[in-house]
Amino acid sequence: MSQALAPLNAPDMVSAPRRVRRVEPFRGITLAAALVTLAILLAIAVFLVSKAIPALRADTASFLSTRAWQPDATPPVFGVAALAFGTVLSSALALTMAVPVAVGVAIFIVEYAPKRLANWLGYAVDLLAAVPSVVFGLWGVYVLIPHITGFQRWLANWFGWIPLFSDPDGHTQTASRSIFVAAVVLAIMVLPIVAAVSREVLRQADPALKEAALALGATRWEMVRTAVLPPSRSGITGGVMLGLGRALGETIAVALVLGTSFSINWHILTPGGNTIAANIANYFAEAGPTGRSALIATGLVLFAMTLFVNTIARAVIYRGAPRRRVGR
Amino acid sequence: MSPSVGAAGSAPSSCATGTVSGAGSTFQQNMETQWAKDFGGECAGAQINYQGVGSGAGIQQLGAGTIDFAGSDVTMKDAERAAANAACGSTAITLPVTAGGIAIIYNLKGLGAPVNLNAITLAGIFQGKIKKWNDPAIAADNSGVRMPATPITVFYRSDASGTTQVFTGFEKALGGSAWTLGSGKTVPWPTGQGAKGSDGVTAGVAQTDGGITYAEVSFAKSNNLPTASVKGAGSGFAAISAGSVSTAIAAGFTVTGTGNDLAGSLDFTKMTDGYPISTVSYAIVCSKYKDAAKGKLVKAFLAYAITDGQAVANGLGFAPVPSELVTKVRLSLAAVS
Repeated sequence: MSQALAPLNAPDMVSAPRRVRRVEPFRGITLAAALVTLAILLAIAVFLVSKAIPALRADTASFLSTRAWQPDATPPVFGVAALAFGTVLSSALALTMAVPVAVGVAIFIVEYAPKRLANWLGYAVDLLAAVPSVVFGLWGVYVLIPHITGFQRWLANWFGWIPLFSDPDGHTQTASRSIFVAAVVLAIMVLPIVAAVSREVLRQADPALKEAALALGATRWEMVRTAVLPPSRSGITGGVMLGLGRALGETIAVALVLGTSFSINWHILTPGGNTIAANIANYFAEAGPTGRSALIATGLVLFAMTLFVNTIARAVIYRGAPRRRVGR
Repeated sequence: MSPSVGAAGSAPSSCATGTVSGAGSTFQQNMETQWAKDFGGECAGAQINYQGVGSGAGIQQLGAGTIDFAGSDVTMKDAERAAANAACGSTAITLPVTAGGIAIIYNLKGLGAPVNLNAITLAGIFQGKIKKWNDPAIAADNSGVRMPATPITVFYRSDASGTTQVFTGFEKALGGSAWTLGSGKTVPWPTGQGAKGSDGVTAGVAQTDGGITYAEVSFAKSNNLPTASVKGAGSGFAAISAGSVSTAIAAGFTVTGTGNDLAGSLDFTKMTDGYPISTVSYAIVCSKYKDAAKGKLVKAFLAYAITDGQAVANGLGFAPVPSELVTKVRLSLAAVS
């Protein structure tokens, strides 16, 4: 690479060799960091695949479509279908709840709040991200569940005609450890990530554009809508994807608040449902050899799902990037 | 069957120094922690560590040679035994160290009298066939008590657990054709809600009028919840207590291991006296440790646990191991080195 750098440094012949020498080790270090990251990712993939194979061979049911978890029974019967479904459903619900609030708080901090309040609010949001997930889980079990029962009942009573909120067996009469409760906890956990990323992205909005919008007689909200949000869209999407990654992989908080079952259940207010990560936390300690391998196989599915989400996030950001440049 | 505590005083618990680590059963964790504290207090320079990681994980760690003894609610399978023997370099032996009952914990507002439930009624409740507390089957178990019409909400363990295995084992043995779920650390529950850990299911019951679950009795005490009297193979309903659990174990536990191995099986149909959902919890140790100092410490610690240590059982929600079994454990321990 020194040849490539040489023309740039050509006018400054005296200092050039020294500069190259100072740059090179740094390049090496960063390259090593990049390679280590790749190697770790690859090692995890290899580990997951190799440990998952014995269980996948032993499974007497279809791993991808079965809704049961009895890997240590004879014959072993287990599948990832209900787990993957619950993982996606709870995460999607969590994002539905968290994203509007997170983007809203970010817009407020950047565009509306007085500086001092904005700083304070920013710290508060960041602090929320620092709360350990087990604390969210315990809070969910001992505080949220008893207090959200009334709201779940209300939803089922008035919106039960929407299949998602229907409660055919009257489960919401009691404290229901539902996917909805898990999604609320996940939403709170995802919120600071999305809010922090959105805040930084919104801050990058071009002041000239904003001033132009205001000068044309736009209200503050019209200015935000026309000059701040459109160029920030891809950045915010990236933040949402990061949040989705956290929601998909969240383990202990979901394990604590969700009344798990191995069914594919669209009624989000009734107890049951399950996620891949929570299932691993619940069953790993007491699993036999096949059970452990089966749990790792579900981990492989989660790994693939997360990789998929990240790839989409990348695609969205890259697709958004040139448009932003054109806008300027 | 009188508990063994009286005989314990005569056992000179010798001391040893060093550090040993055990891991496994969360069921016996409170006992292990208390023993480790008390033993450490009596024997200066002795440090016992115990981590409640789950029976399965404990056995696996023993097989991997990363711990010195395992705590387990279940006996080892053949493959696990082979791994443990290999890691020990000698035969790994299984010794009962504590007993405990699985309490049926419920929450029913406006009912003073303790609820009686027999195995078949419990099968109906936990499988969703019996949906209200004033169901005729429950009423028949509680003649003279006016049961409320509160709907029943079952809480079961969402994580794999030895507690589930004992409860479902009891139902499989005594629920007759009314029980269809088999037994295991997890079963496909057709009704109710899952919650993680004994604290989770008990919290669920505490939050739900009409809730019912199965868990160690200590969780009922800490949540101020009542426990049901249960009828299994016996003729009457028995309340859970240290005494009634020890009595049931004396009748229902049979050693199946050979030599110094005291692994055994529980026969719930033989628990005609005492509290019928009772179980033992084991320590799994090497019969000859590669490090003699560790062997000496494990031996001294367990000798303490099975004798003087049994006295703390009641306060922690456990039951003392019956005296006949204590004698056998002490004989087996004598051969550990």
